[in-house]
Amino acid sequence: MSAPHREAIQKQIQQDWANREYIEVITVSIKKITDFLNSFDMSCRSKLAVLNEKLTTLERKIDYLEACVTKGETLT
Amino acid sequence: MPLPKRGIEPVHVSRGTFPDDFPLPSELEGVTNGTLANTVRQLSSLSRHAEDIFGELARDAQQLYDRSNSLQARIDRLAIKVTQLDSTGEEVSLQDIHMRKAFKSAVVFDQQIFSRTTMPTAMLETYRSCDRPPPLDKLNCYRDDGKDGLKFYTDPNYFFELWRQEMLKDTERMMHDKGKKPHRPRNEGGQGGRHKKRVRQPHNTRERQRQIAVGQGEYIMPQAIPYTPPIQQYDENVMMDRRPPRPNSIELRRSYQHEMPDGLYEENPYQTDIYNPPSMPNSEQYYQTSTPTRGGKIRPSQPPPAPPSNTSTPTANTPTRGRSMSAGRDALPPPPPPPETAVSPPNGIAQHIISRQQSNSRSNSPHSHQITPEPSQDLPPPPPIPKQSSPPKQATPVQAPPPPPPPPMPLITNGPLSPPLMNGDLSKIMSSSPPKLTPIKDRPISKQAPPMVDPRNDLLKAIRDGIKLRKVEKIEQKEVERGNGLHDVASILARRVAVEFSDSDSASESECDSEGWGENETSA
Repeated sequence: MSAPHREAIQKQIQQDWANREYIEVITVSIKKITDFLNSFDMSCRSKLAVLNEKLTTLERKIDYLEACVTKGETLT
Repeated sequence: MPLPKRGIEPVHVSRGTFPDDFPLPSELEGVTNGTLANTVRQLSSLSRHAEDIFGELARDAQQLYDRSNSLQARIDRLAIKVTQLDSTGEEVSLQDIHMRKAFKSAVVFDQQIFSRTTMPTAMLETYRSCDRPPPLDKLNCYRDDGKDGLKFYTDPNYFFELWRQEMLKDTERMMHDKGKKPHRPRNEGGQGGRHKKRVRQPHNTRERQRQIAVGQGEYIMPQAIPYTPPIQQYDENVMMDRRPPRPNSIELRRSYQHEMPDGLYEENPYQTDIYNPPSMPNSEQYYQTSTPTRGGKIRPSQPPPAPPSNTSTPTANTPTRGRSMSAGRDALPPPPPPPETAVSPPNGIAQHIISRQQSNSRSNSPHSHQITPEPSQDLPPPPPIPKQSSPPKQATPVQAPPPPPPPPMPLITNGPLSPPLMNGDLSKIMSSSPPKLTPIKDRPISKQAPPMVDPRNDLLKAIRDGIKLRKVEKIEQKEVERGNGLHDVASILARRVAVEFSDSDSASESECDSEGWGENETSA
């Protein structure tokens, strides 16, 4: 009796290990997704910030140029 | 402490997945299933945050896209406009210049960046999960001091208020110092060295002026001699006396401003003088009233003549009298000493001098006022010049030896007069053009007064006027400040920067002034 019982338990434990490995894969994947999302978010934000900075500079330059060129009438 | 912006919800995936009260055929499978379920929850939480992240990014990108689009449109229009520009038809007519659009930056500075409204949604959720502060504000109705009860518990604006007050105080102090420099040294005991320095500079300038005047053969010489000793005493006395008068001066300034419309300080007074001969009766009244009330505190209501200063420092008065040189004077109250020169330490003078030199046209009105009383007692009392420029000066003025009194009167009315005027000449002038005496109000006018023949007069006037101008600016700024309490960072910082810049400017001016003086001396 002990033999088949032991086999059943071993089978359960093996199954459990397999399941745990599966869960591990999933959680690691989730972590990877999270890391990617974070890095993506950061890089996007930094690039957007650079873009925003350039845009602001451009807008000011255009402001100045418009003021230089216009005579009375407003371009905007 | 770093604050996580986003948190994936179930942190411990496998915990609590084993039901104690529910017998399971296979415990291991139960735990596995529970863990898997929590993992799926994590995934859902992750997807929600991902959506949030992408949403924010998309929104920012959209904003940039819109901005770049509008910018592209502006550039296109600008390009067309530029192509239409005709280099051959270089029209630089005055009209075009007036048509030019003043450059006004529409840039809006970001403010209150870390406020509740700009908090990212993910953070806001975390924030909302916090316990709310106790509703102490409900007890506000029971408070007598009108304070917000909740602010004793938590006040998000506390540090901003702290910073704001500090900055405002700083700027205020800087402006104050700036204003004081020209007019009066501080009385604080700790700054004794400073005081000496400030006092000394004016002394030098006066001496220079005196020398110049002497070189030109002016009657100033007699004044200078008696004049010097008081100055030295002045240093000590002034320190003591200046304090009390200050408040008065402030009040005077205010009254002055009220009288004068904005921006008209300089021009209006002058015009008023010319067109409206100064009201002799008024000036006389002022003078008389002021004399009895030498206490000086009465001043605020009206700009009284300098007499109070005399009371405070009798010694100082003597020099002024010597200046006046009028025999009948004794009976009359001592002529008001030129407040500016007396009060203002050399520093201030120097700064103003530059401006003065540039605007030689300034009327000699101040001088004229001083002189006027001398020749004819009946003439209107000395103009209350000081009220505008520096009431404080009056207080201190006592000793301040008035610069050699140039014959300003004639200049204003008659235009260029021969520089050297003798006492007799002055009296003649006075009699001939008594109406020209400028009332107190007119003082500022002097700036635009016609150019004077006597360079010395110009300098003195310029100094005085400059000082006055300074004060006026200061007052305006103060009023503005009061009018709209600064509540945003940008305005506060801008104001501070402006003040600092002006400080540096004034410093440079003073240097230039000193140089100018040196040149004058050499030339003289």
